[in-house]
Amino acid sequence: MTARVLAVIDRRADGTREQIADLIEFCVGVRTGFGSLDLVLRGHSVVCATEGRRPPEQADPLEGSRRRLSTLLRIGVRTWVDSTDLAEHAPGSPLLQGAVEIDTDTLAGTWSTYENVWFL
Amino acid sequence: MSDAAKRSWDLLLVVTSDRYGAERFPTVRRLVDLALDSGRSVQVWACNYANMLTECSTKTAPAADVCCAGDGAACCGVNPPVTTTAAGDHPAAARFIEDRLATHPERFSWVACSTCSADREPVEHLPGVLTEPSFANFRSYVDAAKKTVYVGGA
Repeated sequence: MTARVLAVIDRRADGTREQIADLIEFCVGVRTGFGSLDLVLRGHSVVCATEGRRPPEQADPLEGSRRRLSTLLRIGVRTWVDSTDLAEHAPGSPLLQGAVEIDTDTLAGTWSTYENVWFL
Repeated sequence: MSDAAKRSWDLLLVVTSDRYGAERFPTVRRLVDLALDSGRSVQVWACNYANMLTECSTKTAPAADVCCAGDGAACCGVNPPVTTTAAGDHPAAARFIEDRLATHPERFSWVACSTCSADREPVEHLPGVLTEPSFANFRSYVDAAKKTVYVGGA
């Protein structure tokens, strides 16, 4: 079933980790409030959908967002990760369980099936 | 949820940006005025840094431009730092909101979601600004609007 909200996180040069963390938090709130959410990650935010590769002793600034995204995936938030941006920002990194790599441009054809398409 | 949210609105704008001062707020202003000028009603949901547009705190800011620095806080997660008065920091935006609340009380509403500021010092908002204690009510506002536009973007 299509979720009521499709959230698209698409940040380029200004996609700092704090901004991305804010947006993932917003998604948590939307999922809580609406009961469903589909999510598209583009730009630097694709890194949130990959398993961390740093040694545990190194602080990973995106770890919090990664954990929250893992939770969203576990509770059924469909998450698509842009293949081109993944190759640029996290080449070779395995995705979190449930996340799907795709050319997200092709998803534009599905927008009309949602009540709300929000570019966060 | 307040009565203002229960009624139907033509447009809901969601504003969370920490860049309202320079980039986003003119977008909000234009959309609000276009809606009002065409006889429609518009409600604004503000959270995260956008809350500061209407806050009237008496705290002294730790740095002059901290709330526009974009280097902290998270919507409904990590709290924005306490800063000086929003109205004082962004007088043009505050004047705009106050004016539209006064001139279009039936067709304009500004809602400050206070989840972000729940753990901060209690703050006052401009007279007429509605406050929502929880982001959980966000859906009610979306449901009450014929169209929701997410202006963004923290």
